[in-house]
Amino acid sequence: MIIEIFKANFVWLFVITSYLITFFSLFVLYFSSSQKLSAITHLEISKDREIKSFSSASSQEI
Amino acid sequence: MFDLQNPKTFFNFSDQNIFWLKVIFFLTAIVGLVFSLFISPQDYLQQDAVRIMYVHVPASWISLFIFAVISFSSFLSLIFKIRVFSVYAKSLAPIGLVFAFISLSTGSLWGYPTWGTFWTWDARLTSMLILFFTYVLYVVLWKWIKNYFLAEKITNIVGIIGFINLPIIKYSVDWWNTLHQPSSITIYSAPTIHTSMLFPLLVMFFSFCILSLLIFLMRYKYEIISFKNSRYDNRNF
Repeated sequence: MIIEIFKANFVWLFVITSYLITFFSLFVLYFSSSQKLSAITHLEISKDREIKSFSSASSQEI
Repeated sequence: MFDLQNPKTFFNFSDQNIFWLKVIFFLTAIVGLVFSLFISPQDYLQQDAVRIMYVHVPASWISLFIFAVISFSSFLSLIFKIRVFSVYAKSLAPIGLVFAFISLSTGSLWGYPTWGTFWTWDARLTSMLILFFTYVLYVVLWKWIKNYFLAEKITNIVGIIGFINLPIIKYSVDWWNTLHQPSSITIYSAPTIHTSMLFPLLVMFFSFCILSLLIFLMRYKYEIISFKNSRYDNRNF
């Protein structure tokens, strides 16, 4: 039964695999790029906050 | 005028348009998928295997186009010392690499039901594999070489030398007797494929172009911020 279905949809198996490979690769690329960007943007914001808190703290001390 | 040398131009463009780019990609991808998988007709010879063309061909076009841009940017960066062009090239390379991988893997999957083999050392396939390895080399060099300026110089050279392969890929089917079929769509003559197949092909191509632009904008922003950080931190310089 399974072999029959496999034989009948032999070409579709290749078609679906191609589309899965394509969209999975693009999905991974998109999310890795998005993650990288959000990580570095987060770092930038926390750096800014650190600088701001440091400068405000030091001015209070002064 | 769109100032290519000013990162702020890209930052503003990406901040204003990223949402709409996502929407356009999503819609075109759905339309493209519906047409390419269900509405477009079967090929009289290849039957349903022809549907692989709708992802294989756009991926190949984009990987070639991206490498052409990388080569041009590398040339400008190396000769005129305009740093921003090497940042363009560096941001584009992973996108081109993924599309070259998609082109090779889907081509291989298309090859089996039509040619009876996953791979053959045919001129088009081999030159495309060389392009893939050139992309790998380009990306790996940026990762491995810690000195930014040295990495920039070497990758620029790789980008320029790699350009030689592009006309070989394009004309390999005309210059040599290959198993791979000649181009059905050319700039200078009318396409030899029916509109019912041309439409999903162009929609998928447009969709992939939008996604490439989206990813490029993210990677470019990342590269500019990390470049600025490394300069301030005085690391790798």
